Order: sequence, then structure tokens, then C-alpha cells
Amino acid sequence: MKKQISFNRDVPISRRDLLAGSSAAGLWQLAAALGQAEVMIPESGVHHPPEANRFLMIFLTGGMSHIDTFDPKPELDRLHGKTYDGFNLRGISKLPLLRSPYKFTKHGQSGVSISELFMHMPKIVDDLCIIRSLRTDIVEHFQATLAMHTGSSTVPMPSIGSWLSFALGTANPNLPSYVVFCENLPYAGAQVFDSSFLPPEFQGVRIVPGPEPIANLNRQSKDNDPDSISIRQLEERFLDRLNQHHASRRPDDARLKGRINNNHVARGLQKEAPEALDLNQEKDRTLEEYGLQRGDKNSFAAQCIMARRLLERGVRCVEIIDTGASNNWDSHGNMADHRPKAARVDQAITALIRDMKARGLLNDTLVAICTEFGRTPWGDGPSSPGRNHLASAFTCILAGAGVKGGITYGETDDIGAHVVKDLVHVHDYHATILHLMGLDHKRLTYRYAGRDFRLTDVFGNVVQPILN
Amino acid sequence: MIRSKFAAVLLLFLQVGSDLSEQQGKPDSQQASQGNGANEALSIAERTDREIHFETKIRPILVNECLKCHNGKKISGGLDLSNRNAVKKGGDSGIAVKPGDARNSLIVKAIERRTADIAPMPPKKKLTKEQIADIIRWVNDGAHWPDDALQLQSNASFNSEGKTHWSFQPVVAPKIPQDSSGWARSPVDRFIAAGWNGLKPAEDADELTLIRRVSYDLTGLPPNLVEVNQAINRKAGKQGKSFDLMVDKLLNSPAFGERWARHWMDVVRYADTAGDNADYPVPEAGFYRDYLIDSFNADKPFNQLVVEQISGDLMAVDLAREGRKLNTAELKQFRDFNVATTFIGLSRRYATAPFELMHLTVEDSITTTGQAFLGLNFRCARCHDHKYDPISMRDYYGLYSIFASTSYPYAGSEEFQSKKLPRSGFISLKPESEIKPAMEEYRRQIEKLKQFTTEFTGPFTPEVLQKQKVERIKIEIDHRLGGWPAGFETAYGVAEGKPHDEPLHRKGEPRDPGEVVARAVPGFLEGFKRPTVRAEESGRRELAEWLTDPANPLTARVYVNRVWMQLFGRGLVETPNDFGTRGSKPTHPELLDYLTNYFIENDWSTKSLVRAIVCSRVYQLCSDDFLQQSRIDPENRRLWRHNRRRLDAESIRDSLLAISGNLNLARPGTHPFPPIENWKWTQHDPFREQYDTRHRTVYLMTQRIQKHPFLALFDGPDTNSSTGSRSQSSVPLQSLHLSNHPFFIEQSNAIAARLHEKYSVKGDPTELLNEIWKKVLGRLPDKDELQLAGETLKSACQVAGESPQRALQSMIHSLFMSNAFLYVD
Repeated sequence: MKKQISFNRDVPISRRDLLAGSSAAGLWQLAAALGQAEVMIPESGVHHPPEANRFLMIFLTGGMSHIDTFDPKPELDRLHGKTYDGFNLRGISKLPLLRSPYKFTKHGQSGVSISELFMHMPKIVDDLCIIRSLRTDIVEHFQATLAMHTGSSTVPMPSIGSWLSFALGTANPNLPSYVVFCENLPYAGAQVFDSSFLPPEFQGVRIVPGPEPIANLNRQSKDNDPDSISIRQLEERFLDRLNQHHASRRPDDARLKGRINNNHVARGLQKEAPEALDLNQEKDRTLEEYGLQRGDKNSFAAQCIMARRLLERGVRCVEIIDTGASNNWDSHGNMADHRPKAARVDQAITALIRDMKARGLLNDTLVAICTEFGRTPWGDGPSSPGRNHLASAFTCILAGAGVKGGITYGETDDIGAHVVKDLVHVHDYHATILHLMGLDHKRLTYRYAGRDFRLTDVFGNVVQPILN
Repeated sequence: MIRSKFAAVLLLFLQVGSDLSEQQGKPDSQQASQGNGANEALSIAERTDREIHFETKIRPILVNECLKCHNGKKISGGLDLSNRNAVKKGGDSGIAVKPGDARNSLIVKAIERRTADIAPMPPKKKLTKEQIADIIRWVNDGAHWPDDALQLQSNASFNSEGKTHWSFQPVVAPKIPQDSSGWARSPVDRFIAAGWNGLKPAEDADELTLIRRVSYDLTGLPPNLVEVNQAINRKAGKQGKSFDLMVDKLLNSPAFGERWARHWMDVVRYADTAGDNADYPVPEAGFYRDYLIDSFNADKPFNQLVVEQISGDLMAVDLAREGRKLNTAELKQFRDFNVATTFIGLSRRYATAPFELMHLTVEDSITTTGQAFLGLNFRCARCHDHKYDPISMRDYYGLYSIFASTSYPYAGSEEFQSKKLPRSGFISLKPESEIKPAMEEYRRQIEKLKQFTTEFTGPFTPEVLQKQKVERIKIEIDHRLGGWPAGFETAYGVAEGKPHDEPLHRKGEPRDPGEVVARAVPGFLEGFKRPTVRAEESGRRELAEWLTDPANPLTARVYVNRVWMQLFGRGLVETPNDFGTRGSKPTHPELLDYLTNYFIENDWSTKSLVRAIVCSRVYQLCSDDFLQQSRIDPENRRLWRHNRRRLDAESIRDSLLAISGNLNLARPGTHPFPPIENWKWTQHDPFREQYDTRHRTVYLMTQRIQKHPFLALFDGPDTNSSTGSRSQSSVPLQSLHLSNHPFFIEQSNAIAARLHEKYSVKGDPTELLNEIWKKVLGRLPDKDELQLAGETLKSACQVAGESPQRALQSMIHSLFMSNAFLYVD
């Protein structure tokens, strides 16, 4: 019989592998030790005057390679093919370094380098704050995606959009405060926009581009003929009167009135959402800018315009998740696979930023363009032209209200494997976003199961140098 | 012993193993802090910062590095660093901490090891640069010591703080108060009335209200139409015995078990999937759900239920000791015992490899055990002694060693999936004696495989690829060794592993092991036996014994409070999963103790307890508010009336099915998961299904990484961690769902179709409307409702033209959306 190996004690090395990266999760319950007195939301909704009133997050699923997009590594050209102790998901192997197949060029007044993967983005480079020193804790899609959205890489927690909605409320009662364009579910599924222990009204409302963008927005029946519309009106009147009658005998119960009100809000949503998502009202020139064919309601570009329309109408947080858990930026096999992914978002993101700027929307909107982790400077295998996951360094972007444009922040080493200057942990990224929205990440807490929780756990520092 | 537990898994990692810490880095607790230490007046924000600095940086250093020798009991050099006053006082060499002046503080000199006259501290190991910087910042910032951190506990010392907390005191036998007014009907009422302090009780609820209330509370289903009709035909005030009889009927209905098992499933974070990144299904979880339903229906004593869930496998082993032949009843018991430990088996799995992040899975076992049975959160003590409750790291790691000595089942995950893995680590539902021939054949096959690999690994197979192939087969052998031949029924339960003790994880970090902590039940409760763990076992037997000791002040109290909460909408302790010092205090401590004694004396019978409560007068009060008293006690903490409650998700769905006649009351089989040979889910393509059924909602398949959309919207339970109480939210998306989801249209249409056959919609609608109201709301419409509904129906018929059924459907659908339906008075 094979030697019995117990799961924890006898094989320390293996255990370390098993548990690698769990440190942040481990300290997770230090939150317990934190004694902020109560849910600290000042009446105004913010802790200090905000730079941004709206938040737009564009999440590029699968791990966008920093060294092929926004973090040029000329040294890799020289070292190309040299064997390196490359670490991957489970350990270290001798792997050849891999130069980027994409050319980098300096752009804009700021002269920031971007790779040729993005042909349009040079137009907005002076508006972007490119943070080249991100780091996360766990190098798996699921955990890292969860971390980028909730600050927690293991246990489900409220997403950043839920925290913001919870803290800041909505500016348009007919629309949800947190909307997520999500054609295909990302890693970790709906957990990434879930409100977790925060009340369910703060969970992200998923929009699936197509005939029924919001679940149950309309009846799936022939109810839309004129007769039925009258019946619906009768129904609504009946329900309202019945509820008023019911409430009149229970005058002290605010919940009953609350639910009557919610019925009205739901009707408002039914009326307003289709209009907010209706691209027919957009000018030809706008569609052209985004690279959108008229009538297209599904593409990433269409989602970008809808996102702008929602932000204009007072939705607090909008997120666009570019692709789902498969067929995404996870280019293990070949870095050439990054090209179609970039092409899908390049023009639309560029147009969106320009559009928002032209409309003045960017003045009070914070834009975060992010991914869950970076990719290794060495090949995925001995002869693979693709790259593996990398947690120790990657690039994310902030733009818009309160953020310096046309700068890069932080540095990685010569090959982009580690951050060597101005590390920005995911918690720091979140702390900075909250800060710009007028919130102190240490004071935005919620008591649950006897403990005060934060988006940033017990970590996080605002990245001051990138603020205007 | 044929179960090899985690061997196979670790084996794989040995192949590629090496430390990843470089890549993963450290969390930013290690970053130098950005504080500028400006000396301004102390604002609230700043205090919070300093508090945070103390809690995240200073406390861990003191606890881990200093308190071993400066802990109040042991005071090396006369210095005690365990509480604020002692720190102020300093030690033999003088004042150790000079707030605002780190340079001249002895503690800084000692840790910096700057001068020869001050002994270097800690003596054996210099603190890290960051730790020293943290201490310096702390001292310079005024050496802030938060008020609620008076006494730090070293990892080694027994935690005495909090011992006086109410819930840790023995359950007393309180004197039943007098009720001179004659209002009280039962002892429960006397305790409640004694707490009114001048408040007046509301009227008794009318009979129909009461029938609806008790039907939902006991079975989760709308009232039986027969009961409703009888009550309507009975004259007012003639309720009498009929209520008690109805309660008995409801308690004996199989729907009772479905309702009350569901409550317990909330507490034990029941799910039908494992929770790994691909969320592998666990068809066997359903056995546990059914076991719970049967247990509640059979009114299994709760202490027995606890013992079985914690240590049922050990009881099964005892039962079948030495190949004893079991009779039919014993075979059923054998099965139940093993199924019960699914409570532990269901601990959340993480990531993509088998048992990846196992310390978090064990954390789930510990946390859920603590919350479910003791109403305490042990999670904090993974990294440090609990800040508020007297739970030490030693308590946590004593339990950790117990669960680490336990073998968990492996349901599959992205790596290795499970098609080749015959339910590795699962538990056979039949004793060895029954399955001997099949197992012998199975083992013969494995031997053959082994033979094959031995030949293969000889000196003639140098190729890497071949080696890998062999390794893979070896892993497969391991899994087969831990698994079962195809077609065997197994449980997702646990078994004994190799009994051993684990080192504690400093700061909760498994890569930083500290002292070894022996398997033990927690030590913070006193006054009853703390059993010593047998050397040859995991310790779950003792844990179960300790939890169910009648003198354990928590287990029965916590459970009794849960039952009360389900019947009143709020517990006597409002935080059912937190009986610790941060939880709520009981509103009626004597009543809680009275009921706890009653419960234990009645053989831990849930049904007796439920009966005692619902047959009290206070349960039967109406829920009307009257303003004056609402001002004095707006939350109705003194229970001068009943609490109006929103129907929970299950009750909404089950009601529609029941009323439409579409409810299938039979128990469904296993969920229609695809055949196990086809399982190949990954994190890129995880298992994601919804299986629609017409069975009760308790039987819906629920997952861990995606919530069932309906349950999520209507405050269903968390499937990842214990849900003590559900919220009753009200959000616009619920309105959309009720209004537009096909389910609500289909069910209301089914009701409309039947009524349309029986009644004419065109003539006098009174009879028809009476019928609808009775079905949906368990009562007759009042005059106003009758008029409103009659008019609406008439108009709707005109609009709908030839389809009166459509008009009917529309009205019934609206009723299901109404507050009269959604709330129970």
C-alpha cells in the first residue's frame, strides 16, 4: 500500500503549493478585529466631496496581457528565447522568455506607449491614467475575478458596484442603481455583481443585450396587443386599490407602503428602461464613431452606448463585462489570440471616452478599465507562443473625474514579471475608486454576522499621486 | 482502511511542487504605511485610522511576539504588555512606551536592538523592518489603545474575558411569574405579560387569520380549504379545542418536516454543489436533505440529530462492528448515520484542484459548527484570539485538529474532474458485510492496475511522457482505493482520517505554522465535563458529546431561540447565529431559559416545543398596531402583538403551486444531473443549471456559485455560509418578477381555468370571488373588496371580449402580487 499522506502535516512543500496565495484570504477575518462603530454613511451619502458621481467599470475577462498592451518591455526582445525559471499555476519550470509580437508606439501629447493592438486608443491616451503596477493574490481566474469585483478572492462578498449603490443610492428612482452588461457570465458567475450580505436592492441588475435585456422586464406572452394593454391597466389599478385598502387598515406598517411604491418603481422601470436602452435615438455620426451598424443591439459597441445612456440617466454604477468565462483574453495558446479581443473593444472604448468627454459626462464619471491579472513574460510551455496567468504584475486603467490623464504610474521589472515601483494592490485600486466617489474605504462598513465588513478588507491605501 | 484521503492530490503536487510565495507576494499589510503622523487635534477619522493601525498591525505583533513572556501572568522584567494600564505603568527598567516619543521609548530601543543596556526583544528573533516601523508609528502617534481592547490574550493563555457573559451561564429554572389579570393561558404567556410594563396586549387574532398564520408557520403552505370553510361556518368565538386539534394535524403532516428541515438547511448552508470553481454537483447531498426532512417529521430528538451530524459515521462503525449482520431497521440506521455527516461533508470547496485551500474548507466546518450549534462565530479565532468572545486560537485549532483528522469526500473539480473517480472519499450506505463480494472484485481490479504501473515504471521507460502517464494512473489508483465500484450508493459524508494534531497557523496563515494544538473541544465554557479526545479517534465523538451535554448552556438555548424566531419572526435573541458578546441580549431571558428547560425535559422534541409556543395566547394575538404603543415599543420587542411577516421565497412558490393544484407532494428522486461519465466542467464552463420542478421548493436544486434567481430575489438562504435569519426585503425587481415571470402567469391561469369551468364569470360574481379569496388569502373578501373586484372583473371581461378566463387570470395574478397575499398577519 502506498504511503498514506495526511492532508496537512507530513508534506509541507505540497501543502505550500496547495495553499499558495491564500494569504489575503487568510487575513480576511482580521476584519473581525476591526471595530468601526457602525455603518458609517453620512447623511449626504459621502464622506468627503466627491470627484465622481458615477462609476463605469469595463472588465476585460480572462487576463489581458500587460506586456502586450500597455506595459512595453523592450528588454524582452533581447532576451527572447532565453530560458527562465518561469512560475505558472503550480510551480516553477524552465521556460523560454517570449517577446511581444506587438509593436509599441508613443502617442499623444503625453507620449505614453501603447501597443498596436489598440489602433484607436491613441486618440484618448491623454485622458488615461495607466497603472502598470497592479497586483492580486490568487492566480486563478475565478478567485482573481472575484477579487477585482469584491475585494475577496475566496468568500463571496458584496461587489464594488453594490457597495457604491449602497453608499450613494440612486439618482433616478426609475432605474436600478447598479447595472451590469453581461452577455455571458464571467468566472465566479453572478457572484461578481452580487450584493451578498448587503440588501438585495443593491445587487447588479444584469443586462443581456438582446430581446429581453432585463429579466422579466416584460411578459413573455401576447400581452402586448391593445386589449391586453387595457387589461394590464385594469390589473394595475386593481392591485393599487387592493393594496391601499389593505394598508389603510394597517396604517403603521411602512413596509406595506414601501412595497406599493416598489410596484410603481417597477412600472417606471418598464417604461424607462426600453427608452434608455434604445439606440435608435442615437445620431448616425455617433454610431459611426463607435463603429456600430444601425440596428445592432448586441455588440460590445452597442453596450458601450447603452452604458453611456444609462449613466446620463442617473444610474450610479454601470459595468460592462466584455466576454464570459470562455473565449476571452485567456491566451494560453497564442498571443495572436489577443488581436480579436482587442479589436472588439478598442474602437468602442475610445469612442465612449470621447463621447462622454464631449458631453461633459467625463467630468463627474470615473472610468475603470481592468482585468483580473496579467500574463507571464515566458511562454505557457516549452514551445508555446501563448502566455500563462500572472498575479504579481498587471495593468489597469483609470480615467475621468479626479484622475490625472496621460500618465503612467508604477513600474514592473525589465520583463514585466514583478512590480518594482509604486505597487498598487487590488485593494489600493478599490480604495482609490471609493475615494474618488467621495467615500473613505475604511469607513464604508457594514455589520454582518457580528462583524464590520469593508470592500478593502483590512487593507488598501488610496493611490494619491494619480489624483488631480 | 481503504480510504486514502488526500494522498492522490498531494502526490500530484509533489511532481511539480515548489514554493509560489514569490509570485503570490504578501498582502499589503506588509507595505510600509503611508501615515504622516501629523499632530493635529484627534479627529474621529484619525482615531479610526489609529484604531485600525492598532488592530491590524500592533495587536498581532504584541500577541504573537510579546505576550508569551509579558502576558500578565508571566511578567518578564516586570513588564506586562497585555493591557493598556499595565503598558502605561511599564516594567522594572522604567516606562516602556512614551506616547509620541518613539526614540526614547524602551520598547523601541529593545526591538531595534540599538543599545547594549536594553535587552534585545524578542530575544530569539528580531522583528521585521515593517513590524518595527509599525511600532514606531504607533508610539509616535500616541500609542493609541482602543477602549474595547482592554486585555489582550496571548495565544497560550486561557481566555477569561467574557466568562460572565449571559449566554455562557448555566440555564436556570426561572420562577414562572404571576399574571393577576387572567390574560395568560400558558407559562409562556406569563413570562411575556410580565415584560409588558404597562403595555396592553392586542386583541386575539380572528380565527381565519390564525389558521393562515399557523399553516404557513408549521408547513409553509396555505391553509387547507376544509379548515377555512369550517371556520367560516363556525360561529365567532367558538374556536376552543379546534385550534389545538389543527395544530396537531399540521405537526403530523409531512409538510411539517419539509418546512422545518428547510429552516435547518439554512443554518447548515445546504447546497447541491461543492462550491469549487466549476461548482461540481453533489447528487448525494439530497440524501442529507431527505434525512433532515424525515428526522423532523419523526421528531427525532434534537440532541440525537446533533450527534448524528457530527459523528454519525462513528456510530455506524459501532453498529456494524466486527462484521455484525444488521437487521432491516439497523441497516436503515446505518445509512442515516452516515448520511447525517453530510453536514460536515458539505463544507465549501475552493479553487480547481481537489482539496485546494483545504484550510478554508476546514474553516467552514468549524465556523458552521460554531454558528449552528453554539451560536458563536469561531472564524475570528483563526487568525487571533477572538476580540470580543472568549474564543482563543487554541480553541479554534483544537477543533481544526479534529476536522483535519477527518476524511472529507471529493465530489470532483476542474482538475481530475470525477469521471474516473468513483466517489472518492464518499461513504458507503451499506456496511462492509453487505458489499463484501463486490468490493473484493473491485480491489482485485485495482491490484491489476497496480501491477501494470509497477511494470511500467521499470528501468525501461525513461520517457517523460510515459512517466506522466504512469503517475496519472497511480493517482487514479489512489482515487479508486478511496472510492467505490460503480452503482454503489454513497453519502457525501465524512469518515475518520488519521488522528493527529495540527500546528496553529500564525495570523491564520497556513504557511506560518506555530505550536501544535492537540485535538480538543473548546475550553471557554465551564461547569460541565470537557471530554478528553481519545487518542485513536478524530475527536468528533467527544465534540458531539460536549455539544449535547444537557449542561452545555448554548446548544439547546440557541436551538430554542431558532424555533421561537421561526414562529414570531424574531428570536428572543435577535441574532440567532451570534450569542456572543456582540450579539443581541435576550429580550426575555427567563422565558428563554424556561423554554430551554422545557425542551430538554421533553427529550429535545421540536414538535413539543412548537406546540407549546403556538398554543400560547401570545402567539395568537393579532398583528394590528395601535399608534400609542407603537411609539413606546415600535419594534414590538415586548410582544404585545404579533409580528406581520412577508412570506418567504419557498412559501410564495409553494402557495401558487398548491393553490393551482399543480403541486407535486411526492418526494422527488435525485436531481436530473447529467450522468457522471459526462462530467467535465471547468471554471471556464462551470456547472450551471436550473431544474424546474413542480415539487416543493425545498427540493429545488440550489448551487453555490450561482444562486437560484428566484430564491436570490426573495431573500433565500446563502448557500455558502450559515444563514441565521432571512431578511424580508422589498425591491422593485421583485415586483417585476411577480408581474412578468411566466410561472406566476401559468399558475394563475391554471386556477382561472378551473374556476371558469365551475362558475359563470358574467352573472353575480360573489360566489366566484369568495372562492378565489378563500383559496388565495384563506378568508372571504370584505364588502369593499367584493365591490372593487366585481367591478374590475366586469371591466376586464369587456376588454378581454370572448375570454373571461383571461379576465379571471388577470385578477388572480394581481391577488398574488398583493400585500394581502405576500404578508401574513
